[in-house]
Amino acid sequence: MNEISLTRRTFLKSAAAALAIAGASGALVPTKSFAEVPPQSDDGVTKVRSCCRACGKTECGVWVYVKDGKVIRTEGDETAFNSMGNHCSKGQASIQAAYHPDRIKYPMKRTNPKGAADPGWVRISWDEAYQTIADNIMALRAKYGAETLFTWCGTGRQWCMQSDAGMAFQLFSTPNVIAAYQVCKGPRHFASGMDISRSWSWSEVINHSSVYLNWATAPEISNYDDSSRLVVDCATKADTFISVDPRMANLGKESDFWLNLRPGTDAALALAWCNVIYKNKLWDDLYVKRWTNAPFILVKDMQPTGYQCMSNHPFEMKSRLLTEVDIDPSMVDWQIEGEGNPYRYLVWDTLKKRWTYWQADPTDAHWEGENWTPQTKGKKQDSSRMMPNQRFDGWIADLSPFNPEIDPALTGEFDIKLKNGKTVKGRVVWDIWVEQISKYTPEYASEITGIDPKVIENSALTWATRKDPDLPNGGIYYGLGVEHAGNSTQNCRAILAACGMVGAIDTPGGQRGATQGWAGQSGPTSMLPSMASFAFMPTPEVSAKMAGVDKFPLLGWYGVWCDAETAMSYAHQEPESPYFIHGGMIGSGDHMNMGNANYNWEALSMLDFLFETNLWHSPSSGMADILLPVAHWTEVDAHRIAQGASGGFLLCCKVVEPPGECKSDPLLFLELSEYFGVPAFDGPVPWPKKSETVDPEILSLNIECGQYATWVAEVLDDIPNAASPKLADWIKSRYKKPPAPDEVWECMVRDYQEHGAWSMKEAYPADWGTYRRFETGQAYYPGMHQVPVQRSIGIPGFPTPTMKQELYSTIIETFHGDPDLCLPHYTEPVHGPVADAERYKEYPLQAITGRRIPVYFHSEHRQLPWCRELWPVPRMEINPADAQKYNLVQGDWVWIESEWGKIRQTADLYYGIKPGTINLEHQWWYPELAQADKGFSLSCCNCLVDTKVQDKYNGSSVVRTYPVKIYKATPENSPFNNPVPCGDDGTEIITSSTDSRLKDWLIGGRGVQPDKFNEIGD
Amino acid sequence: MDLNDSSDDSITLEQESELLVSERLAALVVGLPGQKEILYGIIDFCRTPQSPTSVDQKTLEMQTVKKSVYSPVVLRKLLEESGALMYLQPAEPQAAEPQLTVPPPAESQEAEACNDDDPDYLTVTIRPEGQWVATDEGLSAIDSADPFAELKQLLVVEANYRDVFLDLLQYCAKESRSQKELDAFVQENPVTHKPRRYGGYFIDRLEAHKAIVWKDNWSTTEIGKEFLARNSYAGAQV
Amino acid sequence: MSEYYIEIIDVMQGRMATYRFLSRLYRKEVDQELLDQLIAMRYPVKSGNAEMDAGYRMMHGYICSTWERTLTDLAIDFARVFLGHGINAHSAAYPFESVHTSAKRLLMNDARDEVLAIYRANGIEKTNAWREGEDHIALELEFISLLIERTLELLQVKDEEQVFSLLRTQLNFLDNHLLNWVPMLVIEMQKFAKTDFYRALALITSGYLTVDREILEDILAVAKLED
Repeated sequence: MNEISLTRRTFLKSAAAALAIAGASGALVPTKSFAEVPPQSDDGVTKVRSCCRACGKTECGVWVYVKDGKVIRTEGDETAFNSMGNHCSKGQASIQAAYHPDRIKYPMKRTNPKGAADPGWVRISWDEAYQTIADNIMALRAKYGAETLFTWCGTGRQWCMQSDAGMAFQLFSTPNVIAAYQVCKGPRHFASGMDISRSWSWSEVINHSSVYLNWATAPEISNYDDSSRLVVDCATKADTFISVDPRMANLGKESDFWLNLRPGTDAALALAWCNVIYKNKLWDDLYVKRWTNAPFILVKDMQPTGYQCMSNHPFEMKSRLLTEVDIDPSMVDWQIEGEGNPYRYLVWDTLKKRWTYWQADPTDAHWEGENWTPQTKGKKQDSSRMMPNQRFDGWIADLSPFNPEIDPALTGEFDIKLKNGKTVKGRVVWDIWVEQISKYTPEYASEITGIDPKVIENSALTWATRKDPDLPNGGIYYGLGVEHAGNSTQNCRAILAACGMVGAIDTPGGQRGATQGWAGQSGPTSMLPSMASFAFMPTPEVSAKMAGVDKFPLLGWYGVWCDAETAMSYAHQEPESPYFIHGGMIGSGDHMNMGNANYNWEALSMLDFLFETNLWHSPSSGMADILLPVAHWTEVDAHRIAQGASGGFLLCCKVVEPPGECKSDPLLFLELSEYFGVPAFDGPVPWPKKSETVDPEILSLNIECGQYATWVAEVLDDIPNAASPKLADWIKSRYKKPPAPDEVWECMVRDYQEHGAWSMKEAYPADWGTYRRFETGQAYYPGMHQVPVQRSIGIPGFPTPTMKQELYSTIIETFHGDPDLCLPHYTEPVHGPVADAERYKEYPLQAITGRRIPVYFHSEHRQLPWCRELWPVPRMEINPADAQKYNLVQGDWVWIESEWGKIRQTADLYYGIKPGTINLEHQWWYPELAQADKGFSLSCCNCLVDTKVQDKYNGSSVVRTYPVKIYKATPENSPFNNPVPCGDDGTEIITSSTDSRLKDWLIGGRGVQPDKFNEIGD
Repeated sequence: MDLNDSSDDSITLEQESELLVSERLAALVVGLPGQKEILYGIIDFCRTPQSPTSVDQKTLEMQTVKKSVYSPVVLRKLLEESGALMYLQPAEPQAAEPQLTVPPPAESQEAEACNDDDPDYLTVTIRPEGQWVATDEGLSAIDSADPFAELKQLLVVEANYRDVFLDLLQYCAKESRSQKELDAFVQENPVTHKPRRYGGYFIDRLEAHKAIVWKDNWSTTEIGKEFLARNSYAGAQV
Repeated sequence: MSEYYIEIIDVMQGRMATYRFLSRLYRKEVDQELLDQLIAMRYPVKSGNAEMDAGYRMMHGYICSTWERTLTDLAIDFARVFLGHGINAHSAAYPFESVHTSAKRLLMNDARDEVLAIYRANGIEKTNAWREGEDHIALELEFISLLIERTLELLQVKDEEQVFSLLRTQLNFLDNHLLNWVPMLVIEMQKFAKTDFYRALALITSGYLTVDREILEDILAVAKLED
């Protein structure tokens, strides 16, 4: 047997090396990171069904494989009907994001001044972080008023936005929510919120309409709410694929019609389509007469009148659409009671040649003499064009006839005898509309848009000419491009008008809005679960101070975001600010998403206090005082109801614990509320602590998804139309009684693992499963969009003030006063070459941006090696003819300069963009630069933006369609004599996939080679 | 200056410090928005040498936020790096003047500290606590401000709001006021309606010019009261 | 036979104390309690390993300069060295083996799986309180200290076969999961550290692991000779 022995030498060596730690204080107390466990083999691999958030817009179903507490693989869920197994390159880089060594895993605070290249971050506890945040925010509030605070977020870490609005409203009590929403889908929702119902800008892509139309979006690559594989499938299977895009998009090159319009002229094109629809009598006459306010009478020469309406909050609508209160009672042949009913809109009946009315009172809405009941006649949807697992057959309500029969006049001018004795003229709204669109012949629109008039006409005819006499061919899938030239609201409204004219509202493939189902949107704008927290909302007095509401009064109506550019000017302490903004919270890199990025960065630097919630040290953290580490999607539980119209309801199922001290956004929001004294939950325990048995996130999810339990109960009780027969049977096979309130999430997760993605058409046949819900009384959802389904609403029409699709917007009239603004109309993009011709003399090219990039989601993923290797530098697409003119070859670095800033991107020669226009990439920054701003000012195209021009109604920034000049970057005209952008210390950015910073895993003094890392050099 | 920072940066800064302290302090103020009064207050407090504990206490008293991002130690660090403050080591017997904060090299430390019988080990001796004092450059930077001139200029530039400013000073001189009260007060004057100016508009300007100060509420400072008196404002009561 | 036991136990206790010390310094920032211990400590500066000696000397020098800012400076440097404020996977001396031994510099890669398997094979797993990968240097160092603790228990009952086995396990782990990557970590630490303290820690770690390897080899070699 061997003996243990020591040589003397070894003993001495050891003794000489040994620490003499023992002193007066005793030996070092060992930390205990390990526990004894019985012998075990490995865990094996678990496969969990979830959905991906690499972009945060489409809820692509995925499988996540987990072994030993780590995610080892993600892949598309082939059964997810909404995404068809899609898992894009960003999604596939998810593991690189989750396990990136630079993830922030602990709350941090700075010890060096803002803007310092080294912020001097130091770790702090969550308690210290929360307390510091609460103390600073509340101190600023006490000193300067709640209006001095703001939040600013874009797409959030689980889905949609972060808990920014909830935090702003309920913890800070400020109305100043800056949200990327203002330039991203917000204008669409703004427009559809005014005209139809919030979010009904969204078309039902999954329908696989015979005519598929992509307008100002290229979602084959990436987000939006329906994208990638689904969109490709729809486009390729359609009989006709129409693409409206100044640029030839990847999928767009397969289109049958490519309408390559001049940027920002979308409304002109839409009005031309309306012209074609009208000229060819393709409008849906019954829909227009019965469900829009086109037959109403506009009397310009009278005082506007109205009544209280609901948005997120009540407001007084006032309009010059003629109602009973405006007229001399002798004008009509019925007895007017009292001063008249302000809800009764007069309409001329051409059949009986008399006035009649529509009563837009939600408690008693009807046409004169009508005994309105929900429509019961209709037909089953033909879903044969869809994939087999997408065929959840809906039911399409027929358009109901007028009963009693009337035929509202669509043309005509009438003598109107007003109550004040005056006789004035009143004209049918449609009449005015027709006059307006008559101007927009294809030829006229061609002059504006640059599209061949035949293409305009034929594409419109193809889209609008019905194949099925009862149904329009489909709707319009329109995206960001229409929202960025400073005329966003009316662009969107013009497109909706075209859809309304053909009756493509809540029809298969038509504009149906965000999916309705068991829950509202996940995470976003999330409010605290408690009712008690609503007592902390901004007071009306404080709300009146919302940044920008004076300039953009409709922001008060919409009640979600404040104006970003105004808020930043207040933070920048512009002398004209009515107050300054001193502090708040930011998401990730949001200063780059609208307005001028450099100006915003300066504004952030002037804040007394700013905190950021993020996974990374992004550009905006260079200005933050405190960083809060948040969770990756694989570490988060969340429900995900489709923001689009796919009908999908999926779950994101947490598979691993977040590392370090990361917390999900909802959790930190819940916990932070305690430090503000705002109850997160109702009842005796307003702030339950996370423990073995209690999880506040799950408690919150149980509340958010509580309707699932209600729904299961309804199915078990066999209430009529509780669910589709197939889904009802499935539920009955699993449940004898509904889940208890504290088991909802657990049950949903279990059910989801087995069932996969649910379709809300199956869950709510009488709501999401029914088309033309305005006929069945299920479209009346005023206020915020996407609230859980309410069965049996029983109110006809839409939640607009007139309860009709408002071709003529009473809301615009209320807040802007001018009737000439109220029909959709075209205004030149304010910085386009027509309206801004003078500037184009010096800045002759028109810049657009914002296209989808396969490996990035806006500013995200620049730091993931796989992504950056594929797409190392920003590319400015330029027509080869222009490139030649400017002496540029492929890959050259180019200066792009506007009156308001300058940046560099690389030239990418592309015939798919017209001469005279260049297409920049947006939100670039450089993780490899060790400086506070991470080099965003080198290439972020929003450094070129003019902050003084915005959409008149919703305030959206002009982040596309502005004049620039370009010239080659040379050593002579570039800092550090280097055409390649460099950091403040001269470090060149990564420009190629072969850059050692992407390849090597050792930098530093000693030359250890990757394949010989056991050998240590000198 | 970090005692233990053996990089070359501190030496370079030292050489340039005499000319640039006011600029570095100004840059520090810009980099720590909302902290100017506290930074200046620390420099002012250290006109005569102060123990670290007393500077801690004074700093915490001045902070209007219970839990500030910047601890008293960090604020001193930043002020030291800007050249406005210096740390006085207790005088070594052989040194005639207070020393700057560059530590002696480690070798000499070892020679002093190596008092153990066993030459294979070193033991530690900690130096006693020093004091903080403002540098001349730091003091001249803070003393050079003339708040009365600045206030006068404010009322020239914003002549249309002259009465609002003076009324507000008077209002806060009588008793301290909440932000809500100030907001309601300024809105009583129609000149603030178009263009719209809220309480914050005036509070920010008066605070920046040291005419009002926040301590749980807004009060007029001595400078503000003196300014009222100098302006012979009708009905001004100091 | 027994005359060596006291010395061997002495050696093992010295090793355990050092591994625990190093583990603690990597695990989190220096707090007041640890600083008090560092002030009370005696620093070995004549071991014969130049790196380690220089490291202890440097650390001693730093601790002698303890003043009001020391804990703050150390906390800032801890974050700067091990967490970083960048986003390019080269922004800190990441204290995880995976980062240094995986092609894409990611956490939770093969190295983590391997050490997890080794821990399991030795009947332990990390507790829930530790929320990072198992290949963090603090855990790897603590693992060795735990094996040494077991070695000491075995020495008490004179189970020499198990003692040898454990010593071999320690040597293998040292070779395969510390000395394979710590040299790179050490370079990175010296690049990012602004305090002598963390520069010193890098030197001490590198030197000590080298010395400890020699010690283990020596002990195991002597045993072999007597085979």
